[in-house]
Amino acid sequence: MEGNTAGMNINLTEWVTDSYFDLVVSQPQKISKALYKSTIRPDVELLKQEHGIPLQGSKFQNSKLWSPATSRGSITPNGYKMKWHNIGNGNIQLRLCIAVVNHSNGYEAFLCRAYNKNTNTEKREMARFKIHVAKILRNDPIRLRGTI
Amino acid sequence: MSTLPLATDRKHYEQIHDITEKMLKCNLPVNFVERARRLAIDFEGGFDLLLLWSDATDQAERDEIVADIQDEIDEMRDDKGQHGNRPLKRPKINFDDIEDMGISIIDFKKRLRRIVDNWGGVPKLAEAIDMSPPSLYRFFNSPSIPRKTTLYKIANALDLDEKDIAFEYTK
Repeated sequence: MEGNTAGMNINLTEWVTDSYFDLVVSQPQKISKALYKSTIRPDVELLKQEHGIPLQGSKFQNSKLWSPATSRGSITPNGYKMKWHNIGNGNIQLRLCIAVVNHSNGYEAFLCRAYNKNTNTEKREMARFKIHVAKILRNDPIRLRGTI
Repeated sequence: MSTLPLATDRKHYEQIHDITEKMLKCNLPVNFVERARRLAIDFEGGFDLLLLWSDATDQAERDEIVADIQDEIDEMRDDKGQHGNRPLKRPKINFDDIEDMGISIIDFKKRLRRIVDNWGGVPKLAEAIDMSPPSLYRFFNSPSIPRKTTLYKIANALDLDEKDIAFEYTK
């Protein structure tokens, strides 16, 4: 791990805010503000205490919460997933795809996609996430909608 | 020197060629297929989407993948020519506002959809603006912020006024 005094910056991409619209408004099992504030955001904020990959926090050692992203059987470099199982009313399998990039001034996290995992969504979401990670790494223009 | 990378590349291109030919046979718009081909060449994830489309066994799943591909194509088109100041900072969106914003976006899209239905419907519009019908159905049904470029295409096809497509949230 490369040491830095400041923790990670956490960026909200427009991809993730677009997916929040779907999760909050369209999905039958909606993500409520209360659930976001009590469960999702506090876990994501833990990244601010991290200084690089691998993450050191005890919660991130649990592969049920944090794991590398994979697509077609291969790990997506710089791609990770935060996972919440059976949350909300017990029916939401929330996945948050996060790109973690090591810049010269430290590590930075980009929240890229959020979705309720089911057999139909997983492969498509992982393929799109792979595109988004590539864009971030290539320094293509990406749109940011704030920070955490 | 190993010839494996070349062989792998050739196989990759052959797969892209075969799948895009299959897409044309399924009557997907020629321009869409060409852009999907480029996406697959430029991005491994784009190639994965093509493979998923090819492997999908039901039409609903294929339609979702087509809409995903179109989203990626539209984004690349909108961001083409953007230079400097990367990433592009847009106004922040707070989670607390998402529900109200999403409901407002859905209402706007429903109003626009009524105009489109009276004009001739989504499939006719898809043909007129050279978009795949699944992408256009997703546009109308999803609460995501509409792209200005899509709204302008719709306005031009239907000869609408600016006020018909004016909306507070666009990207």
